[in-house]
Amino acid sequence: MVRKLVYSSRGVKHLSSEKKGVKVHRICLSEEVLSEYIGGVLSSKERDSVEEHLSRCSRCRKMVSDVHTVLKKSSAGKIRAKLRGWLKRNFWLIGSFLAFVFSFFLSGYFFQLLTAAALMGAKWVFDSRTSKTLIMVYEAWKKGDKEGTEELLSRFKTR
Amino acid sequence: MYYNVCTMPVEELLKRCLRKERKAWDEFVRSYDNLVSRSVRYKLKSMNIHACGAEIEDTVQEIFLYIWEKDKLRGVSDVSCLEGWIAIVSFNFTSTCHMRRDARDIRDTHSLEEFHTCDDVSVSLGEMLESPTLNTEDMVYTNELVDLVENEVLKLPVKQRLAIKFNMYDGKKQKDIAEIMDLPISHVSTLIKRAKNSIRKGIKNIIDV
Ligand SMILES: [Zn+2]
Repeated sequence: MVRKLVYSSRGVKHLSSEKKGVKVHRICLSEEVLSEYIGGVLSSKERDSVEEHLSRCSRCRKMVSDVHTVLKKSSAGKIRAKLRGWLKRNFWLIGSFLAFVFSFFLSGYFFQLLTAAALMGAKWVFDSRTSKTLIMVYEAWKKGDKEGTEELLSRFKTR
Repeated sequence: MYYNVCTMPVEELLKRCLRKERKAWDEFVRSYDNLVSRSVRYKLKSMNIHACGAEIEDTVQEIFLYIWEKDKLRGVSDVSCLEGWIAIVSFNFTSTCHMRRDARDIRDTHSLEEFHTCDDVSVSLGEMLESPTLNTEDMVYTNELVDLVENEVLKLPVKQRLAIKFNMYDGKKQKDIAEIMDLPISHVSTLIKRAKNSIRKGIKNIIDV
């Protein structure tokens, strides 16, 4: 049996055997190499060599497949969390918009709904992170805290 | 619930964590806590281990501690590999941790005499090997067929072999295989089709002979 080492310098992990009845001693891929394969940063030659190993080693293949499943679920969760975050941030804006739209349909409550829309709109403006940061920047500037102002402004810029 | 909500670029975060900056580390933990927790749950489920929320939380904390103390982040060469790397480390840690725990439990709860008492339960070989669907002849035939397929799979080019193994052995969908192998779905579909044809042809030739 020819011993084939994939990334021998970094891949010492465990022995594996896939072929029935024959003990195949193969050095498995390390955490780093596997993550580089999944991350798609390997050169085509390195990729081929990793795929050669994966096509024969069920253990490493299972690892790749499991990581793919977890990351896929995680990205779906990220989208859901982003959506939840957006809804939470813009709760008052949505309320204001709905009140404004309904004010045209429910003519009996026109002024009440319009006032509600204006109040919710104002709440959204003062609650938003941008306004909060700008208020903090203004207060820090008024106090003469130059360092604090710069830090707040840099945070504001990176957002 | 957090999903990688870093306020600084990941590259910067990694650098600061490597410099052992406490603030950056806290942010790292907050950003990847959910991924680690998800990986631990997934691994435990695949190992058929039922763990309560507190146990999972403990394992998650141990994983972060392990990464911090052993300076494991040095192994991450590129930020695009970070999430995959975290999942792999979490999988490996969880399985090692539970294997150790199981070994300790067996050592603590069973004495040598206890194993001897198992002789009292008598089960015949027939009962142990009983199979309602397959008789011995069927099993030999199936085993031979499996070996034939195995041999034909080994003869395939690497890409075809990997695609067919993901698809037929591991039950992965073509879309997932395409994502893993970084290929278009049409290419994966062709690889699988060609591999199946080659295997079919190879087996047919052997049976005909
Ligand atoms: Zn392997």
